[in-house]
Amino acid sequence: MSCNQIEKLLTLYAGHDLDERREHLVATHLQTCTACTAAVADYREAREFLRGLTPPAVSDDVYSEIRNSVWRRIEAESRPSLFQSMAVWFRPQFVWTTAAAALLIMVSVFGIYLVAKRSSVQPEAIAHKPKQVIQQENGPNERRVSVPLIQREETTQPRQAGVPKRPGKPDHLRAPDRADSFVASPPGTQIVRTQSSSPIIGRGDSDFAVPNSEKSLRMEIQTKNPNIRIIWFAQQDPKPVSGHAKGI
Amino acid sequence: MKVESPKLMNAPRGATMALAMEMKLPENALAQNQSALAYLIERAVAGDHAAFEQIMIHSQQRVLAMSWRMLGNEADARDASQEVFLRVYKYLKRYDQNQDFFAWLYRITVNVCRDLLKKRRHQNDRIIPIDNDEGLREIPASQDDSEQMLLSTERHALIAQAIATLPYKERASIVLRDVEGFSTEAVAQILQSSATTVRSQISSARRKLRDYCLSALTRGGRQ
Repeated sequence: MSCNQIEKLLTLYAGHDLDERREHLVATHLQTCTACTAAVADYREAREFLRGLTPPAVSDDVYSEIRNSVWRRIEAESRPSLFQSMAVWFRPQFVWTTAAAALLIMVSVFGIYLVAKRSSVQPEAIAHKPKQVIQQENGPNERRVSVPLIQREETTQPRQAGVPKRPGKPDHLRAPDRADSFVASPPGTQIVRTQSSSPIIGRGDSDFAVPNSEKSLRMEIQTKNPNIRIIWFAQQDPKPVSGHAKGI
Repeated sequence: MKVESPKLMNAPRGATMALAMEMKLPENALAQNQSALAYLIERAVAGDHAAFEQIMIHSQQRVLAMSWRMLGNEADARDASQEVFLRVYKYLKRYDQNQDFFAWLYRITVNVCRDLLKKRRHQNDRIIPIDNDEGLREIPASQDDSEQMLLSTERHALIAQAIATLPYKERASIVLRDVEGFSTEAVAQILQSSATTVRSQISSARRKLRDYCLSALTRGGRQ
């Protein structure tokens, strides 16, 4: 074989990386070729240099620091992130559990909402409900009537809802639409006087002139301001009666 | 999960630490003691931190040296070593006990060094030269006089520069073959390549090293 053909194999021959057949071929060529023999010597010399290329001396402290750093990183990476913690819930084996838990939470929240809504209505109505609602005062036709008091803020019904509207009564005679006012106008009630310990609704020691008309309706409303009391008169006859408010 | 370094533990953990002390063999002894290594690996996979600590102790020199040869400086070699052991800890469950543990370890090291080099090239678009002075400090005292003559200061620095100029795959092939002493087939397995490809890379690397050294010596002779 020629030197050009052998030269490609010399690098591998120097490191004993050839198979037996090729190694024998190269060895035979090297017996007669000094240039290729010198080249092989150079390769082997470089290989020996390479083997001597050892890293710098490192103290045990350096190795200890490396190991401690590894442990610190392992500890840091073993802590699950928030996303990883949440991702666990959506694994296939936990999907149904997660869905059931979500449904339970939704039902609980809805139930709490309903209870809270109901409890927020009742205490208000109780707080403002007068102890003695109606006291009939006039005539043999007087009778005790329980007058429902509806706080306007807490109902979507219009004022005097559920009460049949008397025909022909003008709107301007109705009680003013105030947040702290109450409505009491059941059908058939002649005279009504409200009494309550509530600071808002009428007091029991009130003394007002009452119209003698049997068909008149009177209602007292104590506003938040103790100096202002609204007295409302109404008549059932078609003739309008002027209503007014009287300050005390 | 609280992970404690066995060195940081104040008190030994009974049988675990007893095992660690018992297994505390001389450096690189695990390479020969395959059964002890297999036992440590088994314990480490089961979560025994002391066993993993012993694995690190008995492989840290190899990993750091290989990293240094591939990266060319000590700081990067330390970073690479940390990353190597971190990956070993993560993927030790995947390790097949039938294959050579150190070949598997070198594969991780080569991959880590490759990733680190890529990152460094993004930061600084050049090949990082080997720290010549550091390499010169480590001339084995046990070598005979002829080798000490060959491993003279200038020529040692020269080979260090030469290897730093090699492409990464060629560098990995020749370091694994000529420095670490793996067979061509083992190098091919570590690099996940074919033996033919590895031979080609080794041949090319040897030629480049020789040419680099010859040209440098020629320039030096002229000066």
